[in-house]
Amino acid sequence: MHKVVGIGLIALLIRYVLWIATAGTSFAPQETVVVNSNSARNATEEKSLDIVTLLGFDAIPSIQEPRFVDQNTANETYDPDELVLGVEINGDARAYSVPLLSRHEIVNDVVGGKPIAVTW
Amino acid sequence: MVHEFGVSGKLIMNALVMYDRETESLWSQFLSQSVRGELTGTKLDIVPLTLTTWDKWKETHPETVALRKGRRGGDPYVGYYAGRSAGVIVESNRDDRLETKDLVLGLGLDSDPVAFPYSELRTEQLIQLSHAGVPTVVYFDPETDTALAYGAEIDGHSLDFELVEEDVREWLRDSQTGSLWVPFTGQALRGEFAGSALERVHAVNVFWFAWNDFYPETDIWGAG
Repeated sequence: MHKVVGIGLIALLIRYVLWIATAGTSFAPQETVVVNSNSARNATEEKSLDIVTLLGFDAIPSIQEPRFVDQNTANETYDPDELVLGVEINGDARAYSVPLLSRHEIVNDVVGGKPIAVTW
Repeated sequence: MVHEFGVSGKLIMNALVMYDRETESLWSQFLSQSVRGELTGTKLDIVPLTLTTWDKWKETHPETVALRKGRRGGDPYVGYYAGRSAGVIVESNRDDRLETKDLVLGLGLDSDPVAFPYSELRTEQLIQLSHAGVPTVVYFDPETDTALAYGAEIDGHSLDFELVEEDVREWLRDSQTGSLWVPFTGQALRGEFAGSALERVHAVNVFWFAWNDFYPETDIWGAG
């Protein structure tokens, strides 16, 4: 079984904009790949996608060993209106702060016994 | 096979591209599949998440824990969320049916893509439809801007829902049995179906420009 992935709102990244600004160029290396798209009405249609390189691997650090706190502790650092991505698997419920996800983009975790990647 | 993912620093249509540390294949977040390298074509299972507020998540999941974080630091993208810019590399497909940064719930990643604008959901709040032949219900909480989609069926029997208020709480009530379902979890707590749960349908909370970049042929709920 392959690792599963949860998708939140697609965060489209101002951090990259800042990086381009400081690098003084708006041109980024680009390559094109062709995938069998499942997004089209015709499931066998091939779609070509441009992959744009803005940063190196791990320039934005994903989280590998997330640590969790109970609600009372979390209340000290989470605002009531703070956006979270919530997941519940086999009775195991977890919340991931969106402001924190914006800085890490991926949390590798095991929830309810299932390995998942929470992405933003 | 379990993969560990890192951030590649690359984007496809402004959306995250991940890499797995074992093979360094590249994976598109939006398409949830590998698009370059040894694992090209491999798909990931998708787990439904709920994008909502901390308060609402606690209320609906009293046993929850939360990712530990420091006191410091708001969201670095606050200005981006509110602004007009379409990611870093702008839209691939400009589509003026909605505003660039309008939020939509995107349904139909495999077929028949439909975008439900939050502006529309604010007025409708509960939408029952047949999507790709499957009875589906879309729920929206205007207080927290939470948009969720469920399959509107149990054991192959389709259900019709309405929103009702009982005991100062909002419920989905099916017209077939009058059972009461919790909108945020899909669980029936009262009535014949108590103990059953609706299955979440995969849908993404996303900016309009990102949705129509990936799904240029998308329908828009409430349009036309």
